Amino acid sequence: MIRQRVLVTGADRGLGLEICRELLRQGWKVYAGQYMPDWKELETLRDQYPEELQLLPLDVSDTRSVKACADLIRQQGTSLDMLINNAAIYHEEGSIHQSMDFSLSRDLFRVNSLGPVSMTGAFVPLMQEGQKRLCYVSSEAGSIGACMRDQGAYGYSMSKAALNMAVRMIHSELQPRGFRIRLYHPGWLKTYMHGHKNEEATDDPAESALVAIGHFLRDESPEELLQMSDNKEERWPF
Amino acid sequence: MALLKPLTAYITGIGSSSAGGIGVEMIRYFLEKDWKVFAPYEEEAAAEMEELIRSTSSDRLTATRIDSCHSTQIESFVRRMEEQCSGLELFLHCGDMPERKGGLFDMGNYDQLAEDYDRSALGMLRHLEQALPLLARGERKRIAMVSSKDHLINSRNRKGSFVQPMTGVARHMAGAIIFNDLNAQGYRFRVFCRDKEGFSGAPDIYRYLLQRRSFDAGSPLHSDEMRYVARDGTGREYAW
Repeated sequence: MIRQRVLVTGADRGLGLEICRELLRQGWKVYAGQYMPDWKELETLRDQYPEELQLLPLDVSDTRSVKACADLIRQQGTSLDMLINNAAIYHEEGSIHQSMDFSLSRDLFRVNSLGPVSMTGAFVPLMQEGQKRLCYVSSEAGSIGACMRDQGAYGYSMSKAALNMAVRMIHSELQPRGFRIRLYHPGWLKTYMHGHKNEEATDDPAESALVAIGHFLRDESPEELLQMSDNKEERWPF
Repeated sequence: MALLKPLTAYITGIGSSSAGGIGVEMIRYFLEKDWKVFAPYEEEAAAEMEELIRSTSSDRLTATRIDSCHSTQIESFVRRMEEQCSGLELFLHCGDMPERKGGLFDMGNYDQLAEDYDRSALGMLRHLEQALPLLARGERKRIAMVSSKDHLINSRNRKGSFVQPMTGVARHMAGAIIFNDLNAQGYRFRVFCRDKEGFSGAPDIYRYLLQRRSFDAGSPLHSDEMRYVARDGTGREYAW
């Protein structure tokens, strides 16, 4: 049986892990970008799917790591059907009325905005055959038209707006070459984005993963139109 | 009869977002209109700014080369500004920038790209954070950006370098959060999107930045005082 192949970034936990779990259930060959080898959930999942799940060391903010990951897949002589750019970090700088802490804000841009661009540039050559699906997990935080925040999370929101712009440009460049581009807001998830599990959040990562995969695999008409859709299947403005 | 105090503008982004360009043009125009201008500038615009400083006879320009990645340098410039004025009328970030190399498959040095973003997008926040107490003491409380249609996600439909539009849209997002925070406190916002076509010069931008608009949020054409909108030189509003 020829399996379809997908690479998921930020697969260690949360939404990325649940996307891997669901795609494995659906019979995909999954390459999981592993950033936190000490976090054991991904290895536990591999114990369940030793043939179908392959863990690859990957730091999307490091171009050498991205290239090494692409080389590992290239050396196996395989191509990818789908790339899911899920890896992201979160940080708050504080209020503009106080002394803001920008020490990690540049990292937000590196991981959340440049990371997916770097991944796309490195992996598109491995996606010339197959389904050509490029998927990006963004956030409502990147929507300027629906911006509700009035302080804090500047860098995170800016990084997601920058990602949305990058995806727009990727869409302009690659959609005419047959690529299908998907942009997804996963909801407010009970995950570890803040460093600890967010129990206040409303949405379950496994449920969001299921909606995400449906969105990523569904054919849209027209493909020329790029939209950001969420875990309730609703559309967000840019 | 007491002399009227000159209006004061803090113009940033000179060389962090553009190689001088429209930022230097705006400084020159504000000086012609008798404003007092404070303008920190980056290494990239040094030649153009030094030429402007040499050529201008105005004592209303205070300009110093700084690096907007460093809060301490900005803080030091703002302390100088506080010694020379009691309040700011306008904070203007000139974020229009020329295209640079860096397409999807040849992005180049990512450390450099992240530094460009730090200097330009985060730099704007560093400047505004420091200048906010002075802006609070001004009458107009106006925060403005000169941007580009190319930095609007809905308008961007062509290939090209990635990092400039990504940085531009990040600045728009920062402006949206600041708007939500400050609009109710009387701060007014203007985002001017330059186009390759006409009405994008300093006089057009100046006119829009200082124009009075409607407070009626039900008036979509003119309600900029209570909304965060992007317009071009013809007054046309654009989706973000």
